[in-house]
Amino acid sequence: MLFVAPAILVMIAVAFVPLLSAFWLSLHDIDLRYPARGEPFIGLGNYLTLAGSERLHNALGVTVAFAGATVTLELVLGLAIALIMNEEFRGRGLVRTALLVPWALTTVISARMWEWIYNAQYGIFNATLRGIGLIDAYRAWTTDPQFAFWAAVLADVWKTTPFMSLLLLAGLQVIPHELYESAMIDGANVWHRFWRITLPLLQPTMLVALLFRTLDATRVFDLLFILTGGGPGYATESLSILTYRTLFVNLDFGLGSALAVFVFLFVMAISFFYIKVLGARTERTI
Amino acid sequence: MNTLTRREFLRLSAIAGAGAVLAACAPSAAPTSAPPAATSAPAAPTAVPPTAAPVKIVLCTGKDSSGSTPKLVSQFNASRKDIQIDYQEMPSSSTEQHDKYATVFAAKDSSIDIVAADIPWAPEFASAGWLLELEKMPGYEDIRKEYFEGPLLGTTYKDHVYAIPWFNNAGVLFWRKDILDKAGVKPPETFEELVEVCLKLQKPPDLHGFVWQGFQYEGLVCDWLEFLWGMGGDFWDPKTGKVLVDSPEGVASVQLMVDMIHKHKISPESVLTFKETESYNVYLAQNAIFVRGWPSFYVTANKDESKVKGVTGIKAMVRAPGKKPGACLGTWNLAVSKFTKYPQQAWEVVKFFSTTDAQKTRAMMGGNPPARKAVYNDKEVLAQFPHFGALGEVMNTALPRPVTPAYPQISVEAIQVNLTAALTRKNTAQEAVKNMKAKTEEILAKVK
Repeated sequence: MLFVAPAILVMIAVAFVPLLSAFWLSLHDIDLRYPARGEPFIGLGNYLTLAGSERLHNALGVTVAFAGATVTLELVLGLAIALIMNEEFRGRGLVRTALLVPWALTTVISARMWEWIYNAQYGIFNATLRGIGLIDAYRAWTTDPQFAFWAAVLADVWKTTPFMSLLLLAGLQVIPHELYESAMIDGANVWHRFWRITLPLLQPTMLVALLFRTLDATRVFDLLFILTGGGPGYATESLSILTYRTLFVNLDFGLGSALAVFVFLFVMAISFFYIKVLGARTERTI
Repeated sequence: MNTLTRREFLRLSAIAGAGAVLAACAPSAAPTSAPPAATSAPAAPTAVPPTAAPVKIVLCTGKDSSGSTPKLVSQFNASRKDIQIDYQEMPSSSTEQHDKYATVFAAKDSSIDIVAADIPWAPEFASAGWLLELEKMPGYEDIRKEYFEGPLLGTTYKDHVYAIPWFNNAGVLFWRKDILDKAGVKPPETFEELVEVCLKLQKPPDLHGFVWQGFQYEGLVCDWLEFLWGMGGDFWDPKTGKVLVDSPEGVASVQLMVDMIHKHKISPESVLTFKETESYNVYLAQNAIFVRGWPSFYVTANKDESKVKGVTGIKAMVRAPGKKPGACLGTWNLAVSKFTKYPQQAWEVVKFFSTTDAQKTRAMMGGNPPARKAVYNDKEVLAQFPHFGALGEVMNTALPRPVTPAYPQISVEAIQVNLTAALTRKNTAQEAVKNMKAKTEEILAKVK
């Protein structure tokens, strides 16, 4: 107990105190623009405001859709890539390194890069589509709400699939070869081996990878902020962008703190779901 | 130096720690550079009383690529024994500067004495109680009478003055003189003439008529206000706070932007993704006849490597017949922190930057339009930048965006979102201005 005490104290200092403090702030009406109004205690007033806020509902929808779409695509693509990389072939080391490039780029830089790809005047996306005859004139893709959303999803998938596939590759490599060999002797074909051996044994790794990616995707900020500015309208405004704007554009610290607490609880709920529900299932399977 | 109270610290760490936002916004004490030679110890320590150490004034501005600020700072420091400026450059993004200052000021931190503030920050920071009132400072009236009316309006909130214009900026129209001359066409004065000229001379997609800033951000608001003001309309009445945007001029100004893209097709749909840089690039690549921009673009367009060197004209924005041209101010101000320990010395520094000499140095090195009127008629300045003659005219009618601490919120939630809805044809111009008005009133109601 004595030995872990410092660690616990640090945890309390950096995690619980600020959290409780943010919660306390969220119970007040604090708007830095108007100090003359004072900072009255309003109980759950900010949370009631949030409950009725269409903009929050929209941001929640955008965030959930974004996390769902990106994580699903990244899992499927990441698994496929990991399976290929797990095979022996010439130049495997080179391919593994090359695969890491998108992940190594800072999000802000890859967002700028995709901004250029989608550029309505000179972008390669337009050039390609026109080259193969799908469109006859360049279009401003990111001004369409639907496309703006999928443009961001594509950029995120491009960037983070390598991370997913590396994690899964690590999981693949600890599956003992003997299992596959004995399965082959018993006459199991490649599909059987995938569904009965690979997937179940990969589940703990997948859980970790999914947890990381879902939490990251839920807090998405920089990619959307640069690529679409949250627009058109609020079509791609995520929870984090909304929180940032409430705090730093509107200087509304009461409501902003309530939002931050909400984001925290939301992320906690996701973690809880993964660890308790999916985690329990994983243990049963093994 | 750093007067961060425990309560404020907790508050800030709470906000940061809740995982909501950007890191690296914790207020840091200014790195203290050693005070220069003034304190040099006397050879015989017995006789001479210790010299008073100079007061250090921390001045923060965005990145100054012209080098004029460092030059003026060293000029000032060399001439003064009592005050030394500690100049600190911030990132060039104004959003980052805003958030940094807001964080430092919210903590009542005295580590910054003077900030360069974008025009909408003056009322915002003033209302928050972060800026010093300047109207009673010695010599303020002398500055005031030498400055333009519009920029001064932007520094005044509830009858107090919270900043001094540092350099001006106002939206203008650039055009290709060679193309218009060749066709024997005069540069347009009115909206109708602009559309007409574009339709006559453009050849999209290789040569667009008119490009501007249509991305959903602050620049879009500036572009639109210039059309609105050029039609004789206004967003609100600053005296009564009555929102006036739901007017025939309001509708017409939004409709004009929609029509330029979708009906007349003089602006490509891609303007909806343009900030300044993107629109400038189209013009510089000789793909547009007209571009709306800020005066410093004139210098860029006339650089040696520019393909449009020497063929770019600069003039006030087009307007409705019989109305004054609209020009949206992008003035940068100098403001003194309420938490400074040396208000008088800080004021001295601000005053130094407002002198004719300092203003002239900045104008000639940076190409930004100065705040002081007299510099626009200076022979040396005009010899280097002949277009300053036209700019002086523009500054006379230029106006600030609505001066209220709620402006940043109004800009995003009322203006940008509704303009974009109209420009992408999700909504009509009529509905857009109606929603704009309703949302603005809702935001303003909170303070009444």
